[in-house]
Formats: sequence, structure tokens, C-alpha cells
Amino acid sequence: MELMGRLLAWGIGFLALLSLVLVCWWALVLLSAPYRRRREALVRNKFLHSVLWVYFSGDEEAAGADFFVRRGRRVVAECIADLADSTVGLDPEPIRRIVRELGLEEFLWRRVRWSRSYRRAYYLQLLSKIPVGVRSYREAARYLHDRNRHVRFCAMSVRLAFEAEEQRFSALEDYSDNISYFELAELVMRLRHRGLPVDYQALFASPNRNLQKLAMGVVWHYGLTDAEDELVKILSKENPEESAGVLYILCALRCSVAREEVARFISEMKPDWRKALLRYMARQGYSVHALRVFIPDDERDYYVSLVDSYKLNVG
Amino acid sequence: MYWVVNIGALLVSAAVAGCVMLVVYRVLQGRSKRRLLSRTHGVLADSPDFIGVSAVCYDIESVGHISELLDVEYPSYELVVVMDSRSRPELFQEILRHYRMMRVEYRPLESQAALGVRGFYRSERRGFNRLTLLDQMEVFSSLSANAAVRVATYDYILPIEGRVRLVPRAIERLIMELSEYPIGSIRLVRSIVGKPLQLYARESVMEFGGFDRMAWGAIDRDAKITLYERLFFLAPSRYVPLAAGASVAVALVGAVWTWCLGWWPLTLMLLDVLLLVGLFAWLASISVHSPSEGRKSEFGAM
Amino acid sequence: MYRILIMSDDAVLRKAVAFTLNDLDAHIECTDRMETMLALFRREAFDLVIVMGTAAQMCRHEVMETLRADKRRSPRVFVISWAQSENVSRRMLTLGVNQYMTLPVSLHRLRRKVVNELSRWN
Repeated sequence: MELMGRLLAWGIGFLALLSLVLVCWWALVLLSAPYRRRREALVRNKFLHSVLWVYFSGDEEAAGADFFVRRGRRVVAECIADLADSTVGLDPEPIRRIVRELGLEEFLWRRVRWSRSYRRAYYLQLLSKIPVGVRSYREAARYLHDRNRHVRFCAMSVRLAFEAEEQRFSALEDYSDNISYFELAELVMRLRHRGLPVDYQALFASPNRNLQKLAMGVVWHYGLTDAEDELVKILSKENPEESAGVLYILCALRCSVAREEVARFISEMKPDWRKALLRYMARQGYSVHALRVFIPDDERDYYVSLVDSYKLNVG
Repeated sequence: MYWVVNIGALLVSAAVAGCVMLVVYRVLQGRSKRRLLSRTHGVLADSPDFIGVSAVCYDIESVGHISELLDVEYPSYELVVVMDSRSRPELFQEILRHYRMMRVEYRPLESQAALGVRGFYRSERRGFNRLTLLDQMEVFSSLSANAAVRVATYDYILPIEGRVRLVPRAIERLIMELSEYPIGSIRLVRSIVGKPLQLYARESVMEFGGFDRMAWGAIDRDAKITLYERLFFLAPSRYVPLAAGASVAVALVGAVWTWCLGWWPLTLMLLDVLLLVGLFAWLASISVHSPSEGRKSEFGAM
Repeated sequence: MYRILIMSDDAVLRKAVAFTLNDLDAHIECTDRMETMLALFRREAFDLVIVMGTAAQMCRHEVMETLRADKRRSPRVFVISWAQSENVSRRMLTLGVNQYMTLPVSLHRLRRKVVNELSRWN
């Protein structure tokens, strides 16, 4: 009974403490939020004014880096990342100098080491968007096998950003996961941002699936109908997920789907997947005639109704 | 028997405390993930467009509500509005006028005919080609969402109730989540923070025969995703804070009183209630629509 | 003096574009919301409106109606957003937008376009 009493007292104490901690934390976050936003806005405005002055006046001396006290460095890194994302063609030298003077690279790596999961991925993402040196290229390798997929992807992005100017993709080759369409979209966007030509044929020829998928993304984005043969070669039953992606890209490019390999693959697809593909084909404007080779009879009515519906699309 | 009650109270309290801490941890993780993804633009700019969402809205409140639901940057998105023109004739006419809707021949996209459908409207203007209006009898309201599924264009269906608004970039957030998995592998995505959101794979809805027949447990674990961030806004209700405040006050006073009386198992139960009410109040505060919140929220309203 | 109105919910982009156009003979107003932009536009005339980060909101009925309400002095309208697809750019041009550009944007190129557009219009 005494033990029971003690256990109950401990339980009550623990719950009371937990409630108190949660309430205090919530109150602290609510009360500090406006102050934090004001301070960040001030740092952001000052930094942007300073760096844009350098770009547009040609004056090499930016406002003193001493303004950006230690606590503002995360905001500065975010501003640089946002500027890098939204603009193109700016000279990277002023930003490199600011990164050096403020020690942003070391600051962000310290944050990476002391955080976990999505917070770690966030700081790695910032690193992938600011000009960094070979040290970051080597440090990022430690996080390529993290438990969190976003951390792995952002670490790979840091390495890829360093390699991009030399048109190497070894970071992508070493990436242990199969890149998802979300990651592919991010990679294509960064490649496009750099404006570098990509030898997609060499990527298709590579045995690495990630490089092939990158080639698929490039072909889709630029509408490269010349790549039809390379795309069809990827179709196979061992690789149903990527093959489905290939089919969608072929349809987006409005290639012929009557080719033997394509028609055979579509006719062997799961009915749900085929229906989804048919909806996509109708949106891309394929006629019923183009598909009669391989649509089963029961799905033909479905496709006819789809096509008729899209014909009613007055937009 | 007394020791059974004590053990039971301790176990329940441990379970409640564990669940509360897990939910708080997951919601904070969701916040971090949202912050990470808020700086990605690939989905808008360079994503293959084969993942699309058809939002189905019934019980629409106003033309302004439709405008807000159309403010989605992601290109493969459409809005299907289902309403009964006879029960709300003024709003129906206003929608037709505002969006220059014209009646088009109704062709159900599936083989079964939807019941009670009077008409199908699309806009003449290119700027509104993502909007479809379905005039359906309200008496068939239990089937109304299913009729809209039949005319939806895309592979994922998002039912939206009348009072609810989308958080900025909610659709892009869902697309980001779907595009992390193989094509067609995800059948259900839900968000449990604030007003629950559920995004269904179209074929799953047809397979189960309707939204109301889809059971979370019936879908394979690998085919569903749970998000711990708000994607819907709710209009604030004055009753929720009152109810929460009253519950907290009663639970707190009761806990102190039972502690003084030595009824410790009951004290534990009341503290559990306090913790759970606090958790629901916190989650509800996150889901409330703030008029001053701009389109770009950095961390969500946490 | 020209009057330029810039709308973007991204503070960095807003500031960057405003700074880019700062040395023009122009008065620049910035806002982060479409509703505020329309309210400002109704109060005073602008020669150029730059909307950034959104194309979907431009499709709202009241937006182009407000911007084109005064037929005698309709402003030039630039839209800059992330969407790359041809459908979106065609939709913008059909709505009456004068220039559609995609992000990431070259600030120098944007400045040249603004200068050309304003001097040609005048």
C-alpha cells in the first residue's frame, strides 16, 4: 500500500510537472514570437540593403559585417539562400566574401552537428544554396547515410552544388536511395538555375538508375522528343515504377504509344495504373484511334467518355 | 480491489502522458518539415505533372470562398463545386455570373450514372478553366461527393467542407508528400492537426463505393501517410475556447480537491483530462484562421 | 516620375526587385498581399505593376478588372512566378498581362525590360 501510494504520488507529480512544462513552453513561444519576427525582419532588411548595394553600385565595400551580430547569422544564411533561389546572374563574389567574413559555413556546420532530423536537413539545405568550399564537400559525406531521407538528400545536394560547375554528378551516383519525383524536381530546378548544358544521352547510357532518372527529368522539362528511343529502353517489368514514369514522360512529349514495347507494357499494367495513365493521355490529347491497339474493350468506353469530356473543356 | 484501481489509474496515466508527448513531438517534427519544404520550389517549377488533385467542395459559402480555393499555384489542380441550385438559387446565380459559367453536356466519366444531377457547368473564360460546377439535388447529399468524383479529372480527390479554407501551399505540400513515393502507391493521406484533412486516391474511392465507406484500417499501412501539420484553416468558434477553459478549470479544481481528500487515483484521472484538454486546445489554436496571416508563413502558427 | 507597385509575399524578392529599380526616376510602393495591392491601386494611379510569386491569384476576376478599370491610363502589368508551363504563360497573356517571366529571375534583365516598357509606353 505504501509502495502504491508512492507510485501514485510520483505519477501525480510527473503529470503535474509535464502539464506545467508544456504550458510554460507554449506561453514562451507565443510571447516571444512577435519580438523574434521583428528582430529577424530588421536583420534581413539591413543585410539585403547592404548586399544589393554592392551589386548595383559596384562598391566593393558592403556595410560592415560587424553589424550582423552572431545571433543574426541564420537569418543572413536564409536571405542568401532565398536570393540564390529567386534570382540568377548575380556575381557570386560579394556573397562569397560575406560568407567568409561572417563564418557562415562553420556556423551552419555547427548547427548541422547539433541538430537532428528535419532541422539538420534544413541547415544542410541552406549550405547547398550558399557558396561553400571543399570542406563542405567532405563534411557532407558524413550525412549521406543518416536515418532521415531528407538529410541524406540535402547532404547529397551540398556535394552536388560543389560539383555542378565541373558538370560532375558523382554525388548523385553515390546517393544510396532511388531519387523520388520530388527530389528529381529539385535537382532539375538547380541544374536549370545554373544554366549549364547537360549531356542527357550520357546520363541515359549510365548504368546508375539515379542518373537515368535525372536524364528523364531533363528530357521532360525541355521537351526533348529526340530522347524517345532512350526512354523506351528503360521500359521493363523489373522496374515497374520507373517504367510508369517513362510512360508519363512519353505521353507528355506526345510520342507515339503504338510502338510495340510501349503498347505491350501498357496492356500488361495493373488496371488501376492503366486507368490513371489513360486519364493523363486524355489530358494530353491522345485520340481514341491512337490507343485502340491495346485498350481492352471494357476500358474503351471509359476512354471514349474521358476524351468526350475533355472535348467539352472550353478552356 | 483498491490496488487494481490504482494500477489501472497509473497505466492509463502513463498511456495518456506517452500519447501527449508523442503527439507534441510529431507536431513539432511536422513544423520542422514544413519549414524545410517551404524553401523548395521544384514541385511548382519542374515537377512532372502527372500527380494531380481534384478538390471537391460541397456546402460552399460564397463566391469569395471559391476564389480562395482557386488560389493554388500548382498547375494540376481543379475545383469541383457541388451544390443544389434550388435550395440556394441566389448563390448559384451569382457563381454563374461571376465566373461566366455555361452549361455543358454532362458526361459521367465512369459507367454508372450519378443520381440527381441536373447540370454541369464550366467557365467560358480561360482564367477559370480549373473550376467545374455540378448542380445536384440536395436530397442525394450522401452521394454528392461521389458524383463529383466521377467528373473529377485527376487521380487524387480532396473533399473540402464549406467552412474550411486551405492553408497557403497546402496542395503543393500534399503533392510534395505524394511525389516522395512511387507513382500510384499511396491511397490515402491524412492530416490530423486541426480540422482533419483526407486526400483519397480516386480508384480507392471507387473501389470502396464512396468516401463514407472508406475505412482507414482497411488500407495497407504502406499505402497511407499521416501528416502532423495543419493544412486546413477553420473559422474561429467562440465556443471552443469557452469549453476548453471551463474543462481546464473544472479538472484543475477537481484535481486539487481530490488530492486534498487523498483520492489519488481520481486526481491522476483528472490530471489526464487536464493534459488531454490542453493538447486539444493547443491543436485547435493552430488550426484557427488568422486574418493577418500572409501567404508565406515561415513556420506555421506554432 | 513613374509610379511602380510591387507585390510579392517573399520579402527577399520584393526588396531585391525594389532595389533594382531604385535608381530609376520612379516612386516605388511594395506590398505583400494582393488585397493590399488592389486597395493601393484604387487609391492612386500606377504606371507599372509587378506581381511576383503567384500566377493563380492573377486569375481572380477583380484583379485584372481593377488594373484595367481606367482605360485611359492602364498600367503595364508584369507577372513573375515559378510556373514554367506553357499553359500558365498563355493564360497570363490571355488575361492581359504584358510580360510573364519565370523564377528565378535575372534582376538585370528585369530592369532592362522595365525601362524599355516604360519608355515605350510613354
